[in-house]
Amino acid sequence: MELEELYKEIQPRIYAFFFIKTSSKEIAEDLTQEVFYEAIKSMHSFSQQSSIQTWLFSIARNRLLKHYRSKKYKNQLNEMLKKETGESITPEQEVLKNEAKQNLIEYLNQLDELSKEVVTLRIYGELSFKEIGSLLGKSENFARVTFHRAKLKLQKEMEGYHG
Amino acid sequence: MDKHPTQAIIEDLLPLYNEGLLSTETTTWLEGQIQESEELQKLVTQSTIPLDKEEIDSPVQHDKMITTIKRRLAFYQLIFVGLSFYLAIQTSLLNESFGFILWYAVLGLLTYLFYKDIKIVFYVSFIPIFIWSIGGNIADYMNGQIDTTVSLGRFLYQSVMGSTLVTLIHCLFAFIGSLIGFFYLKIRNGEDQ
Repeated sequence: MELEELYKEIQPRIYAFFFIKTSSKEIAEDLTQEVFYEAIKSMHSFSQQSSIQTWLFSIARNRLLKHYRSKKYKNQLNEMLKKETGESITPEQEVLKNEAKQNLIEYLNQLDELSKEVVTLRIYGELSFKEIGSLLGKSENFARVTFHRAKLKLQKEMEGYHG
Repeated sequence: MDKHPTQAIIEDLLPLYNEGLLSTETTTWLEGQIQESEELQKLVTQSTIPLDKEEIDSPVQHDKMITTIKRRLAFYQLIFVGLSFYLAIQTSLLNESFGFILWYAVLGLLTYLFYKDIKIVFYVSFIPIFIWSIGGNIADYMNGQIDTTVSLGRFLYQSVMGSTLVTLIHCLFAFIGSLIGFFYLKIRNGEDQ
């Protein structure tokens, strides 16, 4: 497959990864563009030892870390904090808010960082356990078991809500 | 309440069981345990059901994004090549200027920080000054400023050799600049980790 076609195929998965991590369409869009900018600029640094998608996701993870360290992110957090503390909601609004929370992404956000990362890379990144392991600097089995445990946890919690 | 140890062991083994990675003995033992417990049967069924993935559509217009990125990179490339030509014209040994010692190091540093590739530093610092040097020699030859007894072949040979030597001296300083960039990035990445 041509490189550009591969990029086209992987791009929505990179976007989904950022969207889950940042919960913001705008930031996810910006970060996705930056990943591909970096990838095209640094194509020479791609070693054939890993697959293109593992390489792109490693750029995405680095870019996300940079974003977390940025002022923009800190300001965004401060604003959210202000809203949370200053907000008083009615019981009806509380019910609506809880209803909206009952989806996979919301449950995902309640997992610990590592499990969330593994599940996101597996479900939305569509990476193999081997690729996830190499991205996180862990073994293939670590990724497999972590995913499995997180999945059971998610299913139990979601079932708990629906059931 | 703590889970029964057998259930915990089975939960740990399930990912390997689902992918058929367990030995025959362990598989037989595990299936025996599963048959005896309804709770475990439910767990196994649950572990095989894929998560209900919520679709996330990317609003990124891929082709437009790639075109914009390529344009942006071509623009930066043009700036680097233009800067290198400017330095070749203004501060090189060809003008008997020693300012190149500083400026080629700066060029090497900037190019390395941007591309993080020593090969590109070499191309950016080598090609413009080489072309400028050869071009200058040819212009001198055409204007009759070169001894007319020198044959064209000999002139071309000397010109290429001389230009290569001059260019390599400049590249050496660009290389030093890129080394500074390399160590700077190493230190910064080390701090980040």
